[in-house]
Amino acid sequence: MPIMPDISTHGWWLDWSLMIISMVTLAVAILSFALIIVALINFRQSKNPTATRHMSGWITRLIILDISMIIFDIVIAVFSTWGWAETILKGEESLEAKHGEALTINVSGRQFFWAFEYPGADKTLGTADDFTLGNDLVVEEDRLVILNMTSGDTIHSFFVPHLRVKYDVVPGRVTRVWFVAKEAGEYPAICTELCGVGHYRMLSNVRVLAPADFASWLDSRTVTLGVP
Amino acid sequence: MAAHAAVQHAEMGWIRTYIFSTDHKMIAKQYLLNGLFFALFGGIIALMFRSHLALPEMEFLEPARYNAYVTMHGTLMIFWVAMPILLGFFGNLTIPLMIGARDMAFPLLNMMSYWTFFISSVVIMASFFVPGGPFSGGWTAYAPLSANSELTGVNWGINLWAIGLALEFAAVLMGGINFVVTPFVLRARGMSLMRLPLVIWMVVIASLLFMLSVGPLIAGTFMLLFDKNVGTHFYLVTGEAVGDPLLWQHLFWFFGHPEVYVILIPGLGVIAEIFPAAARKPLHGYKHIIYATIFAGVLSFMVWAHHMFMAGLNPLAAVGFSITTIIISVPFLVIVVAMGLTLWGGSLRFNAAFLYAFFAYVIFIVGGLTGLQLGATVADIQLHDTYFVVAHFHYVIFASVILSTFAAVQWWFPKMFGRLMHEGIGKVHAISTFVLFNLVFTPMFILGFAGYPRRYSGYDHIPFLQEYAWLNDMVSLAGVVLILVQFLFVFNFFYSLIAGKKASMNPWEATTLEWSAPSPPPHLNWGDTVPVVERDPYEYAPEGVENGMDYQPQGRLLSLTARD
Repeated sequence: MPIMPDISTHGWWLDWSLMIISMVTLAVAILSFALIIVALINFRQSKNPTATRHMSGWITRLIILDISMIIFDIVIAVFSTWGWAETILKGEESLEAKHGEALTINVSGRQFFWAFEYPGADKTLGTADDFTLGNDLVVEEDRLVILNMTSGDTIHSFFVPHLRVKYDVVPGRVTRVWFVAKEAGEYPAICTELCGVGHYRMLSNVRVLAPADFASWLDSRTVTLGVP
Repeated sequence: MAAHAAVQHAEMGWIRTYIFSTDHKMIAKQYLLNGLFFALFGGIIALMFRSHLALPEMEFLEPARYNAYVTMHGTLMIFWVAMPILLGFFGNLTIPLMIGARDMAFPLLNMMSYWTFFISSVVIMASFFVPGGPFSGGWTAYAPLSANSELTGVNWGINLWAIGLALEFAAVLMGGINFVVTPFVLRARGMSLMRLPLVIWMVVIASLLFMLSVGPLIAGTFMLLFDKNVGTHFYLVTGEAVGDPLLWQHLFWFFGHPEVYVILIPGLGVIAEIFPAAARKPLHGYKHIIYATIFAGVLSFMVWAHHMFMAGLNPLAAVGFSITTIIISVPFLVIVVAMGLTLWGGSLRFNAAFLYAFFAYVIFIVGGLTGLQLGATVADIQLHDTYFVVAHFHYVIFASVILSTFAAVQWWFPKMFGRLMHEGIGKVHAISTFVLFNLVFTPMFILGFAGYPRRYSGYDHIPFLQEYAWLNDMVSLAGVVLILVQFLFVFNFFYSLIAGKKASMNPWEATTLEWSAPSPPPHLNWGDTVPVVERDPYEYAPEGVENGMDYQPQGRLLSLTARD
C-alpha cells in the first residue's frame, strides 16, 4: 500500500484495518465488475434477442449476499472498534501502566503555525520553567508522548502521517492524542483542517531523538533558558 | 369539470409561458438550464484550481483565491447543481407525466420555488463580485472560520453564502411540498402506490429526507450570520464568551448526511428507469428497492457524526456512529444487486442513455464500497480529510448527479423538446467521461493513502508527498481534459435542440406513462384524453406476447369526451 512507513506502536491497528477492508472491497469490486462484463457481453441484443422475464432463485442469492455483507460488516465494526479502543479511547492511566511515564506536551494551533509547550526540568506544565517551540516537536524514542491540543483561533487538525496521528485542534476545548515513536528521525506534521489562507503552509517538524540525545537536548534547552 | 375547462384554456402570453410559467415541464426546463449553467461554471472553477495545482510556478491563483474556488466548487455543485437538477428537474419533469397528472398539486408554489431558487442563484453569483471575493472556508463552512471574517479576510462573501443557502433551502422546501403531495393526491386512475415508477418513489423519499433534515441547518445558518455580524457566540470562542465550534458541525452534518442521500437517491431512480427499458425486462426487486431506500433514508439520520470522528467529539460516540454507518451498506447492497439482476438475462440495447446510466451504476458501486474504509473509525484516522475522501464522494456524487443527469436528459429529451439527442455524440461523451473520470479519481484513492491532504493550494513544499507528485499531476491533467470533454454534451444539447431528429411518441419503446403522451406533451399534458393505468410500471417481455411487441405500456389514454 502507498502509505507512509509506520513508526508508531499503535499504527498497525490502522494499517491492518485499512488493509483488510481494502482487500475485501477490492475483491468484491473485481467480482461484481467481472459479472457485469459477462452480463454485457452475454446479454447484448444481438446475442440474446429475447429477454428472459423470470429468474428463479434470485431472492435466495440476494439473501446469501446480504448475509455475507452483514458478516463482513460485523468484522469491520468489531475490528475497527477494537482498534479505536486501543488507540483513541485509551485512557492516560492505562497508557502509563503499559508504556511508563508519559511526556506531556501542550500543543497549540495558530494561523499558521504550531506551538509546542514543554514542561521543562520540573516535568510539570504550567510552571516558570516551561518553554515553547514553534513548528518543532521534539520527542523521545520509545517513550509515551501525550499531546493536549487546543487552538487559539480556528479549527486545525494535527496530522503526523508516520506516527498515524490525526486529530482536530479545536478552540474552546482540549483534545488529546498519544503515540510512542519507535524510530528516531525527522518526520513532518501538517494541518488537515482548512484553517484559512496559509492552511497549506502549516507545516511542522517532528524530531524523534534517541533517549541519550533527547536528555542532552532537554539539558541544553534548560541551560540556554537559564532556569535552575 | 375544472380540468375540462383548463384543457380548453386560451393561449397564454410569452411571459407566462416561458418566464413565470406554472407548467411543470417549463419549470423543469428552467431548473435544468439553471443547474447545467452552474455545473459548467463549477466545472470551470475546478479546471482553474486543478490547473493551478498542475502548474504551481505560474501562480495562477493566490492561496486565498484557491480556497475560495475549492469552496465554491463544492457549494455550487451540491446546492446549485445537484439540488435543482435531481429534485427540481427530475421531480418536475417526471412526477406529473409518470403518474398521469396534468400538473403539480400546487403550480403557483412550484413557480415560486423556481424563482426563489433563481434569486438564490443571483445571490451566490454576486458573492464573486463583492470585495474580498466569495466565501473561502470550505463548502462545509466550519465555524469559527466561517463565523469570523478576520480569519479568512472574506466578509460579504460569507454573508452572501449564508443568505444564498437559506434562500436555496426555502426554494427546495417549496418544491419538496409539491414533490411529496403530488404523487399522493394526483395519481391517475389505477395508479396504486406500488405501481408508481421507481424514480417517483425516489424523488418522494429524497424530498422527505430533505424536509426533515434541513430545519436545523437553516437555524444554524442564521446563527452563523448572527455570530458573524451581531456578535453572538453560538460557535465563536473569544475570551469569556465561549460558544461551541462543534455545534455547527453537528447541525451541518445532521443535514449533510441525509443530503447526500437526497442527491443520490433520485439518481438511482433514473438508473432504475433506464435499466429495464434497455434490458427489455422488468425491474428486479421493485419493492425491495423501495424498502431498502426507506431503510437507508431512516438510517441516514443516525450517521452524521461519521464526518466528525477526528473532530473532538467524544470518542465513544464515534463507535456508535461507525456501526450505523457500516450497517448502511446492507440496504445499498440490495439496491445495487437488484439493479444488476435487471440487466442479467436481458436483451441489452446499448443506446447513449443506457451507457450513461450504466456508467453511473458502475461508478456508484466503487463509491459505495469505499465508504466502508471511511466508516471504520480506526482506518479513518489515516483517511480523514485526505484525497481519499474527495475520491469517495466524487465516486458517489458524480455517478448520481452528473451521469444520472446526462442519462435523464438524453432519455427524456423528447418529452422536453420533442426531439432526440444525437446518439453518436452521446456515446462518445459517455465513454470519454467514464474513462477520464476514473483517471482523475482512482489515483486520488492512492493519494489519500499516501496522506495527501485536501484543500491545499500547493504541495511542492512538503517533502514526504513528493513521491506521488507525478500522480497528482496526472489527476490535474485528466481533470482538465474531463471538464473540457463536457463541452461535447453542451454542443449535443443545443445542436439537438435545434436540429435533432423529431422524436416519436415513444422512441425507446418504454412502458411508463409519459411515453403515452405526445413528444413534447402539450400544456396540461394529456389534451382531451385522460390516462388510465392498467398494470405495473415495467412490463417488458410480457408473457404471451401479442402483436410482436416486447412490452406493454403501463396505461392507455381514454378520451375525455367519450368518458363523459
